Amino acid sequence: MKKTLLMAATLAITPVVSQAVDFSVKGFASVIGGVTTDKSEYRPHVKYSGGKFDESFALDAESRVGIQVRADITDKLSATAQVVSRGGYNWRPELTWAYLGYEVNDNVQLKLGRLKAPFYMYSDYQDVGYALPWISPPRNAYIVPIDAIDGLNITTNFSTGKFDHVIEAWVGHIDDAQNKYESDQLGTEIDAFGFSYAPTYDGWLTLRYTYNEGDLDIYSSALNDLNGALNDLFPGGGVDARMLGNTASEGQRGSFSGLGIKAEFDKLTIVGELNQLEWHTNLFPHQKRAYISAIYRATDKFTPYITLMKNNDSAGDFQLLTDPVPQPFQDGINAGLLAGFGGSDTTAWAIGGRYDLMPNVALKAEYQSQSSDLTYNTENVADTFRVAVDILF
Amino acid sequence: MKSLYLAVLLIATLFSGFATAEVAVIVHPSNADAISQDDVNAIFLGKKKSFPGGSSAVPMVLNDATAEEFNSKLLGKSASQLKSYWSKLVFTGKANPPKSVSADEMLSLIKSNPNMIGFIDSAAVTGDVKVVGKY
Repeated sequence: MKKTLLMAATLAITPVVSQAVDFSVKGFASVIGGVTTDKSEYRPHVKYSGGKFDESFALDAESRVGIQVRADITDKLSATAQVVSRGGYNWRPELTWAYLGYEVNDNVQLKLGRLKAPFYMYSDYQDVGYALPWISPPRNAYIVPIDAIDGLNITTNFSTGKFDHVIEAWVGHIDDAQNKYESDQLGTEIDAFGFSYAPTYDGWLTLRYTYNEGDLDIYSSALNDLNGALNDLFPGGGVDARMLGNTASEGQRGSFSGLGIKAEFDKLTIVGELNQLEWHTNLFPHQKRAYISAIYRATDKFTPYITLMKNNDSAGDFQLLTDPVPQPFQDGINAGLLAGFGGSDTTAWAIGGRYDLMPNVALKAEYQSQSSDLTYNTENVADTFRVAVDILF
Repeated sequence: MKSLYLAVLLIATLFSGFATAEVAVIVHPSNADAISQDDVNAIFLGKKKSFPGGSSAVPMVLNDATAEEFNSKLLGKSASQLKSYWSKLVFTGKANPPKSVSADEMLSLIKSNPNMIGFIDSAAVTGDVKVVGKY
């Protein structure tokens, strides 16, 4: 009883004094296993290309664990840090969030520090499998390979009649020098900004529009070395100048825009996104990607879903080797690059479900089938089966 | 038409029979605000941080079976759905879920703090707290 009274007294003065910093530590983990049919590969995340599923069952391609510490310094000021370690990145820990949050009032929040770029409808908690209806958001539409911003985010929310509005704007610097790629071809340093507007009607129907833009400074020591070597052999010939950086060519301005919709009925949720990644020049392919998913709460614990996905990518005109490197060399090398830079139409469907085993444990399974018209690739059909255990702790 | 009404009434009665307990939403006796079910929903889901009158609202949740009643009746969510809802806010640093306490702690906290709002099995309500709604 004494303890209870003490606790009551402490809590009673907390809102007034707020001197004592309130710490909380929480975590999440997803263990995801998968296998593909035939000889195809399935890369679950555009950023962590080290993680891939193939014909033999694997557990490390997409599995991850995250720990978050939050300190409520005052009623309005908090500090949040989150570290995620994932198999697709050799379990190296990454700082996904590290920021000071300040609530100006009930309607305006500021965040300053390391933030995750809010590109998509499910960006904010993309890593937290437990918070998602799927094993992962449909990967075809989650296409931006960089998402760690160091900068400022201002979010405002307000209501008018039956509408709730959320407007989010951010500006910052992206320096993914930790380099998620196996090679350094797309080493990046970008000054970027973006905003989104998401109105919700009557609590059930949400629309979202977002636009983001950044200038990509390309640098690659490997490509520069290759260019030097080729120049020695074939004076004037070498690597596409736009890939070398430090040239007269402008930075590669890229933009990402997205349109999202979410309709929540009694048991059925329909969610879809149409996302586009475009470039100022044609160096890289322009990607237009969409999905729509129907998620049905069959029982309190079981939530099956079906997802349809479509990609429409136009080809980039990137050539690794240019004249006067002899044509046979150019053709041989450049053909290999088509895998990454060619255009394609791809369709896919997925069927899966979530089962809430315990209040902090969810089980999931998904079968996905994808077919594309890629002419250079012999494996135009790829089927992937994945299972997942999502945990909160 | 009358028989339809009777049927609806009968079904409603049947379903209410399944409810194991009535949940009372409680505040400090000095709290004079009219607090609707929508307000309770918004405060316990972290969407509102103040009472209708403007003073700050600190929600507290129970750690016993009454919480399940509260979650389904007032928040319209199962335990897993609620956990999922909060994980979205927690792991983006937006908010932390309400603190969880026992029924005894709930009563002593509410009666001593005008900013707090909680709930309890309505059979356990005492004169020290004010009931703003029974569900």
